[in-house]
Formats: sequence, structure tokens, C-alpha cells
Amino acid sequence: MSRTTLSYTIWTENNVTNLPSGTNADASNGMNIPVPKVSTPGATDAIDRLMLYVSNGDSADHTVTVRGGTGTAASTRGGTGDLAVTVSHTAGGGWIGPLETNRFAQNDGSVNVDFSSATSSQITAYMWPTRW
Amino acid sequence: MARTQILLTTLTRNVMTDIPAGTAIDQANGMYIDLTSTSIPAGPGSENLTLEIRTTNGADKTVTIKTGVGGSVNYGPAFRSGIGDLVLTAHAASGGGVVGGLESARFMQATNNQIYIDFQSGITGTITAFVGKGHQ
Repeated sequence: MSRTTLSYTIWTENNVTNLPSGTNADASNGMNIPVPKVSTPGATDAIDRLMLYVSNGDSADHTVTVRGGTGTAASTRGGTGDLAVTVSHTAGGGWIGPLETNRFAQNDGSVNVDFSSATSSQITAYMWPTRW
Repeated sequence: MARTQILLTTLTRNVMTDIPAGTAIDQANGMYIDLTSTSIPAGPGSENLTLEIRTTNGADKTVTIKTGVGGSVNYGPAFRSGIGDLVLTAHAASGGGVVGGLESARFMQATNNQIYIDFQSGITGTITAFVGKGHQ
């Protein structure tokens, strides 16, 4: 099956955003976060302002892998490879990011994320607001 | 008593940061965040600040970001302080919320590079302050 789509919540300047409930991690298919492909620095939504909040209610640590990007146009540093990080069960999870556009953007601008386990794991994606 | 400090958790590019335990909300005294930076280039400002508020009291409660000092005849960095306090609601249904970024020209205090936060009576829970770079 294709990857499960994970939309992001944009934080708003000088405002409060209700805590989202999170989306169950899809370890079988992986997940895809659609981010518009941008060509100008400071664009409204960009991977370098993307934050991932991953919870881990399991009794063991999990691994989350942010896949290296593909295509020289979108991801000039995609050759650096995947980013595999440990989601601590003792901490209950963690924050991943911000992330590097040049390393993680797929051809369409999106980001792919894989999980070692979906047990008691949820993920929420946030977009940091554009600076003033 | 003096305000209670909320220590900063820095989010680092391409790194996992364990979820912090947060700081217990001090409703009685209010709280503050210190953004002092003496480095070059300067550290993150309030535009790169995000507050995660988790409430446990079971009812909606307000959180107030106090206006800074500056503008008109008042010396200080917050030349847009005349807009006043920012009063937000932490909803019980969602267990709280995320606030920010915050505008330094509105909220920065006079000389100590701090942000002041007050809370409605009866609120309980934790607050965590995150900073990260807006651009790489």
C-alpha cells in the first residue's frame, strides 16, 4: 500500500493551537508528509520549519527514520542518507526537527517517515510559523 | 514572590529531543522566560519561541502573555507594546495548547530580555518552552 498521509498543523504567531490528538503511526506502509515544493527561502511552509512530535507509550524504544530525499532538484544533500533517531519510551517520546530541506525533500517536496514499530505510537506534524 | 523561570529546551536540526517533563505552572507568582543572548550571532528570539501548555484542572483557563516595555516615551525594545497583553485560552477538551511564536516587538520586557506569563486562577498543569531556528 501507499504511504499514509500525515498533514501538519501550522502554529500561529501570537495565538494558541489546541493540542492535536495525534495520528497512529503506520509502520507497515510508512507515512508521507506533503509539503509544497518551494524555490524561495522564507516560503510559508517549508521542511526547515517542520517539527514532528512522536509519542511512545510502548515498553521499548522505537526507531523513527526520516528518509533521505531523492532527485537533485529537490534534495541536493539527499545523498547524506536517512536520519534514524530513537524514540525513548522512558521519556514517552520526543521532538524531531527542524529538518533540513536539502536532505529530506522528495521530488514533490514531501517528507517520508518510517517506523520500527507502531505499538502505542502516535505522530503529530507541526509547521513553525513564518517569521515576521 | 518573584516569578518562576521556565527553562528553555532547544530543538536542534536533524535531531530527536526527548519530551521534557515540563515545569509546574506557578499561577500565584507568574512565570518568565529568559531569552538573554550574548553570543554572535544572537541566540533565538521570541519569534522562535513556542510554549506547550498542558492543563489538568478540567476547565478552560486563560494564559496571558504580558505586554513588554517600549514605544512612545518609554525606553525599551517592545515598541508595539501598546497593543497590550495577549490573552489566550488553554482548552480543557484538548488538554492545553501550543502558543507561538511570539512577537518580540510586543512582548519583550525592558532590559532583561524576558517574556512574562500570567495564568488564570485555578489552572494546574505544566508548561514547556521550546526554541529553535526558524531557518537553517
